[in-house]
Amino acid sequence: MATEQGIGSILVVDCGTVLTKAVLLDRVDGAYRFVARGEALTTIEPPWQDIALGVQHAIEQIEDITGWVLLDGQHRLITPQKNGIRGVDAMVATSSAARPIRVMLAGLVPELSLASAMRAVSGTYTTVEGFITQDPARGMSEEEQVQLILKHRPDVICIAGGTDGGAVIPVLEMVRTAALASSMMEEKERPRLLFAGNTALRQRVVDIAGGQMEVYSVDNVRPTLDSENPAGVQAEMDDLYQEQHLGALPGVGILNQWSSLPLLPTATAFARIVQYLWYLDESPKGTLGIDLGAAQTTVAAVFGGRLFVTVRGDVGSVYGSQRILAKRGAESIARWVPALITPEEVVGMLLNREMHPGSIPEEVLELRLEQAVAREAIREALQTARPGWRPGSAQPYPRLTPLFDPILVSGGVLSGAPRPGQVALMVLDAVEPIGVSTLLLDTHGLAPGLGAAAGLKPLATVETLDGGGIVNLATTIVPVGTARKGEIVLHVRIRYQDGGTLEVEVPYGSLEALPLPPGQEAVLELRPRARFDVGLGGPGKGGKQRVRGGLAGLIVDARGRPLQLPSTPQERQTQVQQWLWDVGG
Amino acid sequence: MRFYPPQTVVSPLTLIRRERPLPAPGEILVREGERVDPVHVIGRARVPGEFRIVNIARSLNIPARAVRRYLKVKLNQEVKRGQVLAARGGLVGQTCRSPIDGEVAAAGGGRVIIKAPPREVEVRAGYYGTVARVVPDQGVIIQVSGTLIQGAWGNEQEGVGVLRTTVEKPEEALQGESVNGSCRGTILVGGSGLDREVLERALELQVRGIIVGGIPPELLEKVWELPFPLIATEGIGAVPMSARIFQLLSTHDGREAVIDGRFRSRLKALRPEIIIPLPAEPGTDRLRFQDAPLQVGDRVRAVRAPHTGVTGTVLDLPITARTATGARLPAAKVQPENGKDPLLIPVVNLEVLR
Repeated sequence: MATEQGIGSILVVDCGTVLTKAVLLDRVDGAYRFVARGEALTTIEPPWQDIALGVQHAIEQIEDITGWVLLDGQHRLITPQKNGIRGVDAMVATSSAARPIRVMLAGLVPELSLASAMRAVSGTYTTVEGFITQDPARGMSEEEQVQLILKHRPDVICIAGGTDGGAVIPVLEMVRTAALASSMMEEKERPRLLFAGNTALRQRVVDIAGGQMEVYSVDNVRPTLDSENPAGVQAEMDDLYQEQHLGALPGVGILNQWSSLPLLPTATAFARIVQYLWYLDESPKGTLGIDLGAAQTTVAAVFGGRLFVTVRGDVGSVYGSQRILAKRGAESIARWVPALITPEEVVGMLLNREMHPGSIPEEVLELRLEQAVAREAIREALQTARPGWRPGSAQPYPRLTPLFDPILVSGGVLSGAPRPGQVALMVLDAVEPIGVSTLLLDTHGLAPGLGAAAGLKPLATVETLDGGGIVNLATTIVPVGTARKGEIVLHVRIRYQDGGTLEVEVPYGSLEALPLPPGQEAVLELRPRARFDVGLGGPGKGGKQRVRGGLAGLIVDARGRPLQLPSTPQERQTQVQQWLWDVGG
Repeated sequence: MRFYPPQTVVSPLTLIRRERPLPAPGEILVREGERVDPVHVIGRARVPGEFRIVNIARSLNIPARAVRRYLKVKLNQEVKRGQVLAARGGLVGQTCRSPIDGEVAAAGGGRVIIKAPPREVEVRAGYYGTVARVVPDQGVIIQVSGTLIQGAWGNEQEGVGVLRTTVEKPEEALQGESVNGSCRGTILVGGSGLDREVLERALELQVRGIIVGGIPPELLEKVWELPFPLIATEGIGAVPMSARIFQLLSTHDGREAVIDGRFRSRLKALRPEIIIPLPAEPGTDRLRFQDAPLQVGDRVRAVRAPHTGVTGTVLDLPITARTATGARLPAAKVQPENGKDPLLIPVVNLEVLR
C-alpha cells in the first residue's frame, strides 16, 4: 500500500443495502477528479453471500468504461498502481449493508431521560423495538416488561434515567428487570446492557446484571434536568455496529484486506462531508445533508460547526415504505402522486418494489410513486432529527425548517430521477427550506466515499468536491409569510454574467423555475414585500446575493410555509402535476 | 459493460437441501440416510411455557436482601398453584403464593420466577426426501430431488398437496366457478390472478394452497388471513404467470408438491418456493451458484411493468434505451418466449432464470 504522500489514484466503495457503488478518483492536471463509477447489486444475501463479489462487480464496470485494469486474474484488487492504468494506490470503503442494532430503551420519565436516550440512539444505525419506563402512567407491570423484552429479543437494552447523583431505586428496578429477562434467554441470545443513567450507580448495575449480561457503562445521557449528553451512547453504538454488525458481514475480510482504512459506517462518512461543507464558509445558516438509502435515511445537520446526525434505520426508499405506510398511511404517499391511485395500489406497488429492490420504474405512475415515498421518507427522518438540533439564530421561525445553505442530497431515487426538476421538487416538498439555499446533488453517490477518503487523503476529498464531484442542482428562494393567492410578495432581479437581466414579480402561491444553467453565476436582487422574509435579515428586508447556476436553474417557491396541499384528491392531483410542470419535472 | 442481475431458480429437476430446525434444543428422531415424508416427525423439543414473576419483597414488605430468609421453596422445586412461596410470621402473618403450577426457575432481587411446565412440540419433515444431515439436538437437513420454482411473494404459510391446474393459459385468471368439489384438498394453480370468490370457495373446500401469477392488491389483507399458503410467482397485481413456470406446474398436474410461502432472508432475497418431488435421474445434482455476468443467450424474466413476468432470451446487450419516464438506461434486447417481437428491457429490471 502506498504511503499518504505517494497516494495517487483512490478507489472509494460504498456498500449499501441494495447497491454497491465504486468510484475511481485520480489526479488529473494536478488535482483530484472523479474518473468513473460502477454500480452493482450488494451481495450479502443468497445466492452470493459475499459482500466482496458486489464490490468486484462494481469495479468491473469501471474497468469496462475506462479500460483501467483494477482486478487481477483472481479478482483481487491490484494495489498500488503500476504501469499506467493498472491498479490503484488506495481503497476506502463505507457500508450501511449490515442489519441495524435492535435496541430497547428504558428510562424513568418519557419526556426526559427516555427522550434523551431516543435522540442519542437515533444518531446511530439502530431500530428502536420498544420502550420500558417506570412512568406509572404507562402502567406496565414488571412481568409485562419482561415479556416485552423476550418478545423483541433486542441486541441492546439501553437504560437511562436518574440525573447524576439523583434517583436510585427506580433505576435499579429497571436494571433488575433487564437482568431478569436476560436470565430467561439462551446465553447467545442475551442482549447487552448499555447503562447511560445516574453515574453513581455504575458499580451497582454491574453487581445486579453482570452475571446475566455484558454491561457497558457510558456517560449519563441526561446528567442534569436541563442538559443532554448523547456522545457516550452514540460512540458505544457506533463501535458495536462497526465491530459486531459490519464486521460480521459475509466476505468483509476481503474488503478489509483491500481497504487502507477500516470499513466505516456510511452515515459517519456522509456526515463528515456535510460538516466540511459548513466549514467552507462557516455560514450563520446551517448546512443540511440527506442520504436517502434503500433501507435507511441519514440526516446530518450542522449549526455553528456542531454536527447533529440522525439515522433512521427503518425508513428508506425501498424497505422503509412499509414503516411509512404503517405510521402515516397510504394516503400520505398517494397525496404526492399526480394521478388517481388507490391505497391498495400503493401497497401493491411498494411490495413489488421490495421484491425487486434494484429495479427502476419504467412507467410514469411507478416513478411518481417512488418519488412520493422519497418525500415521505425524508419528512419522517427530519421529524426524528429536528428535536435534537440546536440551530440558534439559524432558526428564525420555530415551527419552520431552519435556514440551510447548502442542502446536499444523496441516494438512488434522487440521483436517478430522469429530470433535475423532479429532484428539486422532491427536496422542496420534503425539506420545506426557507430563504435562499443552494441544493447540491450527489449524482455519483460519491459523498460517503469522499467522507471516508478524507481520513486517508483529505486533499482528494477537497479537490474532488471542488472539481464538480457533487453538482449544483438549483438555487432556491423561498419567501416566508402569508398573503392572498396571486398577491405579489417578492420582486426578483437577476443580473447574469453576460450583463443581461431578468426581472420577475412573484405572486403568492406560485412555483417558478428561472434559467441559470450550471457553471454560470448571477447576482440576485431580492425585494420582498413588507410581511415577507427571504432570510436576509427579517420580514421586508431585501438585498443582493451572488448565486451559482444548477441543473434545475433558479427556483422561486412562493407556495407558503408550511406547505399546504389542496384538500380534495382531484384538486391535489392537479396541483401536484402543475408544480411538476412548473419546475420542468 | 458487465451486469450481474438477480437470479431466480426455475429448475425442472435438481437436488434441493432444506433445513428443519427444532424451535429449541431437543431430541432428533431420525438418522442420516433415512427416507421421510412430509408428516414424518423428525424431532421434538420442549418449548418454554409461560412464566410469572412474584415480587416477594414487595408483598411481604421486606428488603430484597431479606427475602431468602422467608422463602419456603427452593430453586428448581415444583410448585402448585396456591402453594406458599414465602411467609412472614408475626401478629398479622403474611404469605405469598404461587399464581400457577410450575417450577421455581429463578430467585433474586426480591423476586421469584415461576415457570409453567414446558410444552412439547413435534417437528415434521415437511418434504419427501432423505435426511442428509443430523445436527444433534438442533435439527436436520433434508435432501429432496425434484422441481424447484422460486416465487415472488408469499403469505408466510407452508403446506403440502396435489397440484391442480385450473386454467388453460398463464394469462387466464383463476375464476370462482372453476373452484369446485374436485379441488378439495388440492393446491390450485391459476394464471394471472384471482378474485374474492376464489378465496371464499377455497376456504370452503379446504384447499391446501394456491399458486398464481399475481395477487390483486385489494385482496392482500384477506390473503394474510388464509389458513393455507398462497404464492404469487410474479408479484402483486394482475400479472400473468411466467410461461415457463406455468408450463412446469401444468406438466406436473396431479403430483404432490410442497409450497412454502415464507421469505427466508432479511431482505427477502431467499423467496417463497414450490418443490415438486421427483425421482432423481442419474447425474441430478444440486444447483451450483454461478457468479457470471448477463450474456447473450441467457434466459431472463422481466420484473417491472410494463413487461412484468415476460420470460425470454437475451439477444443483444447492452443497448441504451429510453423508458416512458424519460430515463436512459442500459438495456438488453430480449426475445419473449411467447414469440412476440423482441423487447428492450433495462438490465436492472431483469433477473436470470436458472
